[in-house]
Amino acid sequence: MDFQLTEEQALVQQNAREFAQTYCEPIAAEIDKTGRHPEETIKQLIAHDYMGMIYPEEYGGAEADYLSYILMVEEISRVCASTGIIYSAHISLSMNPIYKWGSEELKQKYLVPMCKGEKLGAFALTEPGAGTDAASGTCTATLDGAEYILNGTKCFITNGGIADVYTIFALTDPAKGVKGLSCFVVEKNTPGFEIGKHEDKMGIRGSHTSELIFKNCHIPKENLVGEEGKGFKYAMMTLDGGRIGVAAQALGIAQGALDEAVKFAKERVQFGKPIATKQAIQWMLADMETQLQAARFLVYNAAETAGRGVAFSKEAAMAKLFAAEAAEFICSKAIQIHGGYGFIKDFKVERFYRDQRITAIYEGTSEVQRMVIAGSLLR
Amino acid sequence: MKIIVCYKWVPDEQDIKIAADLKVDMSMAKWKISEYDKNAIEEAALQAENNAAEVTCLTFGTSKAKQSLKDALSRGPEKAYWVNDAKAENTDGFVTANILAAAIKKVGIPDLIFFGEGSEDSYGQQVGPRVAALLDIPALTFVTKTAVKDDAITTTRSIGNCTEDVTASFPAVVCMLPEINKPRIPSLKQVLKASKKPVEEIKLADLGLSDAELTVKNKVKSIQGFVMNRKNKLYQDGSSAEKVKALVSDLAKEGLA
Amino acid sequence: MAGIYIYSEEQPVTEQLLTAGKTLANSLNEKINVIDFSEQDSESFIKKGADHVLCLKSDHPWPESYAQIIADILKEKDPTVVLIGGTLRGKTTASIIAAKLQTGLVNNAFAIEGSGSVIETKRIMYSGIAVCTEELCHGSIVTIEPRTFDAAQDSDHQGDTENIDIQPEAKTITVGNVCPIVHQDNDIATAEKLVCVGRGLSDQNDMKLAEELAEKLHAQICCTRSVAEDYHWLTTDKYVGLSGAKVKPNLYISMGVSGQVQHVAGMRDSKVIVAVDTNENAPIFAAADYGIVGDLHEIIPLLTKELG
Ligand SMILES: Cc1cc2nc3c(=O)[nH]c(=O)nc-3n(C[C@H](O)[C@H](O)[C@H](O)COP(=O)(O)OP(=O)(O)OC[C@H]3O[C@@H](n4cnc5c(N)ncnc54)[C@H](O)[C@@H]3O)c2cc1C
Ligand SMILES: Cc1cc2nc3c(=O)[nH]c(=O)nc-3n(C[C@H](O)[C@H](O)[C@H](O)COP(=O)(O)OP(=O)(O)OC[C@H]3O[C@@H](n4cnc5c(N)ncnc54)[C@H](O)[C@@H]3O)c2cc1C
Repeated sequence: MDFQLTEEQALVQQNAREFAQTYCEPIAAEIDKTGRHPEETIKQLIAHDYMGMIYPEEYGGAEADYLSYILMVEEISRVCASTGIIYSAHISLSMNPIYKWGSEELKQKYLVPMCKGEKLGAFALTEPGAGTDAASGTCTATLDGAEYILNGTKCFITNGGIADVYTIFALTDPAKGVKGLSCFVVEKNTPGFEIGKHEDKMGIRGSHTSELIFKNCHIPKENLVGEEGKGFKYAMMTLDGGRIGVAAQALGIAQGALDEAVKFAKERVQFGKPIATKQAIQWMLADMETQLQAARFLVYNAAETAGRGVAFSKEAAMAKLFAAEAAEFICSKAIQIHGGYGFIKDFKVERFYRDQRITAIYEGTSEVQRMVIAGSLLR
Repeated sequence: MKIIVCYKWVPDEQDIKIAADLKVDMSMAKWKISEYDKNAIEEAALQAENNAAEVTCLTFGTSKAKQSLKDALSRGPEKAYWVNDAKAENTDGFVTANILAAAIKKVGIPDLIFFGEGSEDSYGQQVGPRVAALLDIPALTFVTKTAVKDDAITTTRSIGNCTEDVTASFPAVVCMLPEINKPRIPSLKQVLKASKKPVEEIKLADLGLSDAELTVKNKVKSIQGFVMNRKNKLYQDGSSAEKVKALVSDLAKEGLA
Repeated sequence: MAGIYIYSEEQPVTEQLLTAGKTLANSLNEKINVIDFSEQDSESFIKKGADHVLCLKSDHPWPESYAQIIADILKEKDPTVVLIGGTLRGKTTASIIAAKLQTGLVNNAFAIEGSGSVIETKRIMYSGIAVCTEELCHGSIVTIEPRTFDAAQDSDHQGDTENIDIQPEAKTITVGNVCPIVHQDNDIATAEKLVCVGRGLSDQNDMKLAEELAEKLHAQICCTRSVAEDYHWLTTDKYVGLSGAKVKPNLYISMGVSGQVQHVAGMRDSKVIVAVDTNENAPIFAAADYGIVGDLHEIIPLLTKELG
């Protein structure tokens, strides 16, 4: 296995880094503090052709490879994890079902403006009573002539209230359980579709997480993605890809925390010398770097595998599981190295520590990742 | 209209360390296109957009500079020329200008040749006007504004205590000041397109330059860290008001307050 | 033939170069020749140490267009070393001459020293992190920025003047609209005291803090490149640094300036440097004589008040 980035990937990485430094870094602390959605960053993502990064040019995408996309999520998250998830929820969650299984008409209507960035996407699977057990949802979609009528509530939806296009899952045939779940596209401002409460969160505070409420919401029949009853399969396959995005987010946060820890260790003087000269600090740094590189190999490997178009559920699960745990370890040690300063909001590691925590939860908790990995071993 | 924009691949000075013995340690340095040259590339890209200029770029560098080509191409130029030679490791304005001028002659003298105001590493501030002199064409330096009309370029130069508008008919060399524009971050599509743009490697041997033309003139005896000799007194005790009092009293001792 | 040749399109700079030239002439045992445009100046140059003044008589207004003629003269004279005033025009002229003569050029030397037949110059590299010492080839050109040296003193030195009628070739160039830059206050390059503002100011209102302090100190206000180019709170002629103005006041007080190398390169010749910044690790403190780690919003008003 060889993780030498291609010339093109290296250039994308450099571009992503420059983008993140210029547009994301300067407002990262502020959007964390205020919980403001970084609209201006989205405008720049649009101007720089990033909103349809991995989709074909014929739909207005940039047709970059999957690893390049992962590098972008990593670089953004390295300075601002909120922007990292806003972006990856749009690309790898919301757009994926439309692109993979949507009709040509749906692609023209939604994928094209989403690639151009005219419309931002969200992905809604989770319900108050159906988290890990996504199959137990109660949202319904009833066919009525030329329309489906949606009823029910989704919760914890990234970009909820901000997004223009929602890829949602609802039961077309509740009696069939999982086999009755279907996927739909719903536009913002459709009558009967309301945004419920915004969550006040521990981390990734610049990314909005909201409740979606459907009360007799009528959508055209054509907004069914793929076939009725295939929704669960679509959701799970989409989450496989999304998990690599979250893994890259964890990786970026961890790298950001390590960068800060190294800088601080060299600058902070105690007992007359920079604390970096103390072996206790050096050992922490060594462990952090090792965890980080191990995570990076798993994440890039998952992206590479996905890019090759072969099955990658296990690779994605391992990458997310490991990267999330590495990020928690690394951010925790980064705070330790900062001492009291690490606990103060003026220092970035305080934010990184709060931000990393979600990566072990959404798009499948670490327990779920272990289930996927074990499942593939025991098949 | 044809433009060649020249750039240099330099170490990022943020990563340059000075060792205890004042030796300059570049082992940790990432390399990049000189920031000043990014202004020149951006100005060429603007000419391409606004005046349909055909832009190519040219660099003289070691084999390491290969990494820079796609980067440069992502910023606008349609083709990159690269004079690849280990001599670039130890060069000066004299040799660099001889090589660039010869390379420009070889690929054809364009209407305009753009440079930054100096390179970020050695900041010799001479290669642009030297190339102009070697090609026997005008050099418009320290330029803050360009406007092309017919076969001439009008520039505004900002030269210390005055500005002046200088017009030169093609061909001409133009060296930009950083305030002329804000180099944009290339878009993803530009980045991806860059990998498909052509690159032409030029061998030094093909430029027909003599040994004398390729031998540096002034001999570098040493490059050493700059030693800052300052008092470095930080007021750490007491309230802010007390710190300020102590500072003012020190300034008074220096006859400055 | 040999000799030290000095040229600047600005007479005061020529007088400064004569200071460097005289020291060199002593150690190398060479004569000093000055190239100039105005007969009127030659007397004063001779008093300040020139042995020979070559007066180019022409009325072409664009100094850069003399490069070819000066190159022709130098080619004939085969000088040991040529000192050219490192104004921006001077550096351009020097580069063209160097290319025409196929000789070496050191731009922006801050020191030059001769011993025996060896001449060494020093200049900064890597934005000011390092100093490069070079041994010049015979006939190399060196530019030295204005005010690097004080003007040479008058003496009873004797010398002669030679007039040369010339006609600069008018390249395919036209020059128009020459506007002196009107410095809003005085020129910061020659200011005795400077207050420098950086991005640590929260918004343009904070400029008041700097203005009040400057008023107390009778200082001028300058800034970092970011303040001029990104915020536009001051014009670009007010930013200090490598690509901005080089300043050497007696007192330089910075507020909210991190002190990146490119900035420090323009101010580190100041006599006394004071820094106020919230970040105790900001590199500005390494460049400062006196520093206070603190919020400029608190410290600067206290300082203004304390200065009474
Ligand atoms: C900030 C944020 C953004 C989100 N964005 C989105 C989004 O855009 N779209 C979307 O659809 N969802 C989103 N979610 C929802 C997220 O994916 C779920 O929270 C997650 O899947 C876990 O579900 P839950 O919260 O209901 O926890 P539960 O499923 O109730 O889990 C609680 C605990 O039980 C464990 N557990 C559950 N089942 C098992 C089992 N079988 N074996 C062992 N352990 C088990 C879990 O691992 C966990 O530790 C988001 C959540 C948050 C917090
Ligand atoms: C090729 C090149 C050439 C350059 N040339 C120049 C040049 O000639 N001149 C120049 O100036 N720059 C130049 N730069 C830019 C330079 O690298 C720096 O980016 C710039 O000098 C930084 O400006 P700053 O100190 O104002 O801002 P910052 O680096 O952002 O520093 C702001 C400082 O303010 C402090 N601060 C914040 N809030 C407060 C507060 N409330 N109270 C007190 N302190 C506070 C911060 O701790 C920080 O130290 C150049 C860069 C390049 C790449």
